[in-house]
Amino acid sequence: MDKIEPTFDAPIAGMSLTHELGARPWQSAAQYSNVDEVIQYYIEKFQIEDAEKSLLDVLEMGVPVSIIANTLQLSSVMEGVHSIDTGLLVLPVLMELIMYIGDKNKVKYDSGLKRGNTGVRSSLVARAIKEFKEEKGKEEPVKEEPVKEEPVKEEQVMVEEPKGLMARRTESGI
Amino acid sequence: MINNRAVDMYEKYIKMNFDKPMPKGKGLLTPMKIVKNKEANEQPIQVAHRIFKTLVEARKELNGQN
Repeated sequence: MDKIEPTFDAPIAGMSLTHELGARPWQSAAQYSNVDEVIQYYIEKFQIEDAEKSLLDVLEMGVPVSIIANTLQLSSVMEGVHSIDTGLLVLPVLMELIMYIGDKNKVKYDSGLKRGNTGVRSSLVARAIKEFKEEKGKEEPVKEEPVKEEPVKEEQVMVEEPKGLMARRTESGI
Repeated sequence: MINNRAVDMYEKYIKMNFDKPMPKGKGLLTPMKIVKNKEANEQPIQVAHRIFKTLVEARKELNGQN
């Protein structure tokens, strides 16, 4: 039998009560309450050139469309743009919008609609390779070449002969 | 999984069919103003589904062109 393991991914009890009621954006009235307005908000957001470019970059990286849409929706809820309810209603529209942009720009993307997709993600492979390289680097310490010690040449110390009127007389001197 | 909610909603929208005429102003929560004026009582999910369908058709057309 499988043991039921406790999940530590959940929020701590009372975590949401650490601020005054209404201090957080999602605790006050949302900016947009209609589905129409929310969809319009997202369409305007995607029309910004930089936003579209970054979206295409993320799609090319292999991030599924469903995850992008969900993240966008959740972040808007956090910012107080719309409520969770309208966010959920808009979610498929968002997904379709992202896929439309991807198709328009001829970008290959993962829709994330396939269930039970157990294929290994390319990001995981890249991470495994990186970790392997790091471990390999630890196991094989860099061979230190013995440094040949060159004999230090003794410099001939030139002793300056005292000059001047007050100088001590030397044997060869005056 | 995080994305299950999005996938669930997407599949729900694909299966949904609002082509049948919906009863107008028959629900318990329908405001009297709408019932009296016989206005179209389109629910938020219907609005979202209408836009979703338009987008699906637009994408199909786009892929058909390519």
